[in-house]
Amino acid sequence: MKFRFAEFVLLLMLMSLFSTEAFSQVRKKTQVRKTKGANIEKTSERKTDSKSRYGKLPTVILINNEGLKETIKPKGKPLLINFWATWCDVCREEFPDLVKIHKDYGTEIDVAVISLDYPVEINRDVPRFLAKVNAQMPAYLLKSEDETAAANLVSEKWQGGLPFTILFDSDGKEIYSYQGRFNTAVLRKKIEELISLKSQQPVKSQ
Amino acid sequence: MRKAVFLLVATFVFLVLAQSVQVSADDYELVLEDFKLVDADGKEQTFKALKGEKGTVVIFLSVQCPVVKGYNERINQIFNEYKSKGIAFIGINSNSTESPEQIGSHARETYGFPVLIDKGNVLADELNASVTPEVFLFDSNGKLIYKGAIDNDRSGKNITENYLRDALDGLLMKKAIAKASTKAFGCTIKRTEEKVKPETTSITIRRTKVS
Repeated sequence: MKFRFAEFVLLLMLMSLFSTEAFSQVRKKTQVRKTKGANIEKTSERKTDSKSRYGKLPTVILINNEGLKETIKPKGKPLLINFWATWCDVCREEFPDLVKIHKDYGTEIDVAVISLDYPVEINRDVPRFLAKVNAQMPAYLLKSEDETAAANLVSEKWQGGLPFTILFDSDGKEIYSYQGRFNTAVLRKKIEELISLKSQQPVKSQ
Repeated sequence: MRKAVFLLVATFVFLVLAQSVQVSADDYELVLEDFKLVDADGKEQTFKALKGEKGTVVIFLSVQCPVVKGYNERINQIFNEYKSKGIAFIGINSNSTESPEQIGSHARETYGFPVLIDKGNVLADELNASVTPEVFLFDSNGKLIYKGAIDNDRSGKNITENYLRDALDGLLMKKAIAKASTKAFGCTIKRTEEKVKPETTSITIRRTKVS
């Protein structure tokens, strides 16, 4: 009888733990399903300025907060994200360093840039600047319905100042973030540490 | 029986732990008692002398930031509307890249309130300000009651939330403020590399933990 009681309490604890977890999982899933599709909107080919002096301009994808949530989720590799805007002088200054980092580590990590320009610039200043600096990474423009929520989604540490650079490991854990002009040497070191960590991991036997 | 007691204790510990996770860790009440900074002419100014009878908006600004430029008209509108209601505005420029001459002439041309120079970004550090424009609203006792953005649209065309106005109205009508802090995208304050606190700067802030 003593034993039964103990088992019962343990079972109750486990059940309460499991049920809240399972419930939140279900809720999360339905939320994603509801909003998927409406989050990511590709700019149409028609709008691409083919007569530009930089040739065909890169495509910039419009996202909202839900799209942002997807965009900052690593897809099997570490992920480096830079938030910028064409109106931000420091962002323009540091961008060539980001292009170099993408060129040097593009096979080991994913790099994406998210602009906070006005949506009207999605086919104008944003792709023009990306073409000018020869940026090849996926590019987005965030039109946020709630900037407080957007900044908090990315990192609690981010106050909203541009530029903002954040490095996630492949599990989505924040490894490094910086508001303001990033230190190239520090960022490269963080990336290299992540890459070497991955190569040290034993290969799972099948 | 011992096992049952152990499990009961374990349940209790589990429940306590589960609850503590939900309590946010940094609920501080911040009271700005005074600060002393210089203006563009090198004249010392204090918060105590400049603060409003009912409340004070301390706003972090920049000469060059395009977001601030986009907000200047709205900033002046709010300032003009609330100054007769006992609200004072104090502009702060903490950017190491902008000279006192630039800041002075820009302030005279643009704003109806003083803009002080936060050399070494001491006040920005104390208040944890990092973006321009960023506002801090203090009540008549210097208690911080709102921190963040002016409204929710940089362009000014699709404003649906007037954070600062709502906070000001809440303060004047002695009502609770719906949003005590917001974030908005703007220019990052350009802080100095070397940390030197100028002799002309002094800041008195009181922080009390709110349980």
